[in-house]
Amino acid sequence: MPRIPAAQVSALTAFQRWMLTAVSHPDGLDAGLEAARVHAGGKRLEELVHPSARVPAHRRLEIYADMYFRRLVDILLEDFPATAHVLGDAANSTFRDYLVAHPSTSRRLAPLGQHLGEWLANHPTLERRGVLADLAAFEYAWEVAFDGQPAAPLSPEMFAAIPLEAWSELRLPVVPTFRVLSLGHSVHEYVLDVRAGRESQLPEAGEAQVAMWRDGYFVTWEALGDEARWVLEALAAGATIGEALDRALDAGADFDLLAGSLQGWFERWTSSGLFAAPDSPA
Amino acid sequence: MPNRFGFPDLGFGLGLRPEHYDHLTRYWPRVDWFEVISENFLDTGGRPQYFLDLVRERYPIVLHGVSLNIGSTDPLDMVYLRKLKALADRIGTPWMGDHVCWTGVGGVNGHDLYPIPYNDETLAYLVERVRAVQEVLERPLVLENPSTYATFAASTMHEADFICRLAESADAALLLDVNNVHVSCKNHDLDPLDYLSRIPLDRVVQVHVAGHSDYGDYCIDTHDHVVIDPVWALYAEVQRRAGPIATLLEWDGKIPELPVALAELAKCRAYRPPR
Repeated sequence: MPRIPAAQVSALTAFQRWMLTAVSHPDGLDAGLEAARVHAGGKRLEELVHPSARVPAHRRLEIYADMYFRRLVDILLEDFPATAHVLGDAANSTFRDYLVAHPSTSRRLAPLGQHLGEWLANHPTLERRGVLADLAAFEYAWEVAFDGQPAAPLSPEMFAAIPLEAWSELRLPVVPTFRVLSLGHSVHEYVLDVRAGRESQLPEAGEAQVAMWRDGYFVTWEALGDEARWVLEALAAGATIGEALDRALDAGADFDLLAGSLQGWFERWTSSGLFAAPDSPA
Repeated sequence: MPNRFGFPDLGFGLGLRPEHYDHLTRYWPRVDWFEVISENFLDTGGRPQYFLDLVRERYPIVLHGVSLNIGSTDPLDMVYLRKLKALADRIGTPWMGDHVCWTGVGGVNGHDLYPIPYNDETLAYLVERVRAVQEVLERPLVLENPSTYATFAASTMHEADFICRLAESADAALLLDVNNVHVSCKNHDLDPLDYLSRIPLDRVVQVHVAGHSDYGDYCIDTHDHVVIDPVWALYAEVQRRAGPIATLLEWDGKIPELPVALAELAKCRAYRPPR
């Protein structure tokens, strides 16, 4: 760490806290300056910021205040288009409120909306907060899958070459971007429609399990029934196919449904890159 | 005038933006090099990394950060710095840099380039921070002059003098953004030619040109327009004084089709002095 006198660092810290508090207040610079007084050492704005020949000190600092929320809200609007679509005219103010509760703590912008789903779910007054929370959770999971680590997929040819008698003891690791979302609404079609610019109806409430992963460089997902979810979650946890089927049956899966669906599931999952190749870093 | 670090003159480059990926990978146009925002390629293993790898097979890539937060009193983020170094090593960036500014404090990132009070105390503080960063990165840091919209009572020196002393004391390189010189000088009633004269040009390894928004009484560095004539004039002056320096056109807002950006970039060549 720099060997600078602590008092000087402390003064710079106070100054930076003063400025950031002032320019990041949701009610504007005046409210921010009031909130920042504790860091100002009793000084007024004009004693800290110089005017230019044409622009008073207040306006100069306000340029930063104007940009703080505009920049970050724009990121959320871009990352959460379906959530914003449902919020409509309230999107800007809602995202602003969210940023007050959860300011960025990352050097990257991608994690900015990581708490949005949970925050919306617990919002005290917002209408339709259940579906909004699910939309935000789905859209953030999309971002996470987009950025996740790559893995060479198990190709359909590799899968087809596995002898049937080896299935039971086979472990099929999923790609690192795989996750299962448990939602209260089936929002996935709605998100796709909004992102494609199509009219769509908000889904009614109803439990939904959605697997999401990245197939190559494209995020993909699949709505899961209980049986498929139990199998996939067991495989993701490292179980063999045989163990995964046992766990699904223990959880209440219908044997006939499992037996009749298994081949189709694995063919579909393999062709959409859900499983990692055996020597993949996954 | 070759720079003292021996960094090459890369010619004329462009900021790599996702909006251009399609055109770029279809036509592989003539561009000397690309600059990428470092943070956009940290902690990502998806499409951004894929395109970065595709592009770096054909063009030099320079890393340019926006969140180093060198001027903050928050501790240096060693995890971030190590990731930055790993990325730099992986893509073989000729150099890497960030801005003379702070972006957040108390663990909160405002994602803006906030100005520093320019005085002896902050200078001493930053010199040690830059040295520490350079030790981790194992290469000189390339420091860019930011666009600023406010000046502080705590400042006792000219921005250019602060940057000059910082670079010389920490033995850092400089990225001279001539659009930022124009913007800050207009905002702070300074003379841009005087600003340039204070910069040690032998430390300048890269130049930025860009457009900005002029609101009459002040300018904002929006990177969403073509470069205006006074900025070209500054660029020409730098070229005249220093000779050829790797030059990059920034265009980050209202991003046009790649051919439009390339046409703007081509204007740089007119100001290039003979080698």
